Amino acid sequence: MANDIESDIRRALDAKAHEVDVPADLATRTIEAAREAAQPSLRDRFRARADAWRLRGSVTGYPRWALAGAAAASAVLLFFVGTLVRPDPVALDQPVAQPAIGGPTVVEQSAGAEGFAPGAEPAQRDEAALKGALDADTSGGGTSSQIAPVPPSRPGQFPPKIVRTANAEIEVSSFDRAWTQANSIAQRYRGFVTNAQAGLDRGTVTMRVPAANLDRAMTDLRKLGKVVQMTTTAEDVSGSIVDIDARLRVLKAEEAQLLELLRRASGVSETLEVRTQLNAIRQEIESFETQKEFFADQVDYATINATVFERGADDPDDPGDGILIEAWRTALRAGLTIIAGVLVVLGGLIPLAALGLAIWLAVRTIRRRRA
Amino acid sequence: MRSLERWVTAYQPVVYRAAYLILRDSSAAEDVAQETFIRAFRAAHRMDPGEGARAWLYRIAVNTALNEVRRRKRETAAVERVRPIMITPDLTDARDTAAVVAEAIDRLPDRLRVTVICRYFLELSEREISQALKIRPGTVKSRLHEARRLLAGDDDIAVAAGASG
Repeated sequence: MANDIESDIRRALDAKAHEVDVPADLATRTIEAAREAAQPSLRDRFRARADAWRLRGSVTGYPRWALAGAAAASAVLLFFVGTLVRPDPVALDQPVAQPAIGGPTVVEQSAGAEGFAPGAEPAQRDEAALKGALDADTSGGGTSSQIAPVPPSRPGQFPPKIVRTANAEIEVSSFDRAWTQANSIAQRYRGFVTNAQAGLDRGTVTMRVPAANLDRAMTDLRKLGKVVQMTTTAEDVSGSIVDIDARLRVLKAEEAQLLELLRRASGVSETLEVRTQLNAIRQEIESFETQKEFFADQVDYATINATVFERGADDPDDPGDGILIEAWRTALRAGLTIIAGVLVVLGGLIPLAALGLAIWLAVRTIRRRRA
Repeated sequence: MRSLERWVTAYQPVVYRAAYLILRDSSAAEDVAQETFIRAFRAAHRMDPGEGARAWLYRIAVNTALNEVRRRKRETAAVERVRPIMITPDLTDARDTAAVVAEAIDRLPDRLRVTVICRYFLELSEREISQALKIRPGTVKSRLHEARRLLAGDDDIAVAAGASG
């Protein structure tokens, strides 16, 4: 009885769902819309900049309306310049140093930029660190990098799949300028910003760039100021992907066998039983395919977590002894912002007040003449 | 982007039809079908690799559709439910059972109707439904039980089943 009503429900929903045809161009429109959504809009970029400006308050001594006017004029100018000047095309097939198959995690760390060989280009240093990691494992020599054991590479295997992640802390002289530049790095290298949070003089941005462009993006990040800390990790997920592929092959073979059984099934109960098993197998296949896609995405796009802060900025993780002073400053700044807002409103009312006064004087003069 | 294209090709038809079942409006279903994949693309890095893409996408789709239902309810503000369907039982007409059952499902309260669509159209497990609708698995079970009980006791379905049987 329960099975009857369940099959009736399934049939009914299926029939009703097929009352409508899926629009032929829906998939194309969706993919295009997603592609557009992946790019931060001009409005979003402007809003982030405006938020940072609003939080900082006026530090130049000029009135806010003058700054706003200048900003608007600059935005218009930048927009037109931006449409004329495009960033240099970036080669996506740049070779990337990668460790051998087997699942090592290679970590390169530096503090205060002293950890690097002097005179070496940043991109070369990244490659050198990764290659050094491999050499260290095979030769038994030691380096300053933290290296997991690397099994020897086997010739004839497919290229290893590496998930690359970088973390950076950069101290800058001007937060506003550096923040804008940091956020533009992702777009410059055909990536996208997934998260950005800015405070008064400190901000954290998470961006994803094509893995081949990671070194260049990191080079640009270094140029923003003094590197306080920089970590690059390269995780080899080839082993996981090989496992997934093997599981998928087995599951698909099982699926084919079950489909054959389904074709031969005679009774309803037998059909239902095979179909249940088939559904379970398909769910497993989908799960593994998703994992594979996830890994592919992680391999294709490297992740950069960058913290940019102005020289002398307080560390938010360190409450220190200035928390009440900072709260007081924030309150004071908020109060001044409110006063500034009131002044702007009053300033906007001056023309209206002048008009009202003129009308009142005119009416009074007319009335007096009549009297 | 390649993952997105594969997802769209594989799952958008089902997402579109499920949204149509929930919203009963093909135009709104189109919006939901698009919005689902844009949201999924944006949140792809947060997807748990242990969870199937199918269940994850369907969860986003159901939530997007429910947001639309809620938005519409706010707009209509108790003037009318989302296109209420009042069917006058036609005892003389031996209608197709599937159509009668579909109408009976449409008459279910939204909380039961959406749970039924998740279970019997999207084929989500009870655990997946509980995650999608943010309710306890026990509540999913009781909602499905209540929906089946109401449908099994529906007079129209009994008449249609009798006529066709």
